[in-house]
Amino acid sequence: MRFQAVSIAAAALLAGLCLAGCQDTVNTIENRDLSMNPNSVDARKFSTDSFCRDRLALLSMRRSMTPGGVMMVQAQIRSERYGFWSELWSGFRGDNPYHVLYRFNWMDENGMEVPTAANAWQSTIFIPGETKFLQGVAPNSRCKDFVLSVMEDPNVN
Amino acid sequence: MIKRLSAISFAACLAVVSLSGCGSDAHYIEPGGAEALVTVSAVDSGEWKRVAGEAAQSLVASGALKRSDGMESVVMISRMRNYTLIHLETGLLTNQMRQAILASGQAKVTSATGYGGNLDRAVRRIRDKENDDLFNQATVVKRGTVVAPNFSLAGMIIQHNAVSGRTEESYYMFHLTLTDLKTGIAVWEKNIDFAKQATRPIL
Repeated sequence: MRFQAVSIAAAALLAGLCLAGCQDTVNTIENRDLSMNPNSVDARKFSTDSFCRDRLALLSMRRSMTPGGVMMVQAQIRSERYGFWSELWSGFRGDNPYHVLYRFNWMDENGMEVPTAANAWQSTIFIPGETKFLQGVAPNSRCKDFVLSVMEDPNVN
Repeated sequence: MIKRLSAISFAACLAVVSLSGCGSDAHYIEPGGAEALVTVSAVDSGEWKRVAGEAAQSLVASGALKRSDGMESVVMISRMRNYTLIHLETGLLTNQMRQAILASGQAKVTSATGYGGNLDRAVRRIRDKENDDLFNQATVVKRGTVVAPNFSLAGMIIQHNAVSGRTEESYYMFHLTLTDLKTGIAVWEKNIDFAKQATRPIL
């Protein structure tokens, strides 16, 4: 009986190791002495989804003005699904790579949302460990405030 | 025998009832949202919105619509060439681009000239009434008042299909160009692409 339990545990561990070994992750290298001087945005986060919250980390949020005179925002987001247990779990769940939908909504100086074609849900795919920049551009020069919405793509995950 | 037939009929009825229960009533979904269909063989609603959104953001951010001479920019929507194997309603893209250009405040969009549904023939037809005694001639719009465009927005859609075993893949590329009509030089270009893949079941 004991031998059987040990065998099952060993088989499960082996299967886990095999699955984890099948995961593709992204390794990144960047220059240590950064010369950039980004204009950071203080972000206020409201997360209703524990899955998204645990899998994606907001590293920074930056803004700049474009040549067209409108504001551009980039949210630097990294997939946190790397490491043995995360890779094992995402292998079982089949959510590797991680498919995400995101959308920027822009507000004018009166706090009114400005509907535009750019308000559409955009899709992106995160490989574990990958860092991506989700970018939004204001529809016109009057829009300075924004809301970034992020959700799992239910069609895939 | 009758008992067996009754049992088979009952089982068949149960199966039909069960299958009919798998359908869903008509309901509203958000266009291009999480519930929208994704197919390999077509450009779906989410992709039209995604392409229009990305293109509009890129165009507005580039500043290409601003003129150095201080004059107002006017854009005509030219032809979107469809080089795919399927019928595509390119108005799903151009209509959203028109709206985004107008909302940006950087340019106006003309309906006096253009391609397909972007041309309003009333601009020309109303001027044909200048000799029509039915109309008060003082109210008929005179010729020589239409503002000519100085930019043209055109593009093409390209598709590439690949099949490997039971897996089918479609790759679509949208290429959009804004051309300065005075010089003929493209002042803004954008490629937006996406690929979709599906594997057929064995049975």
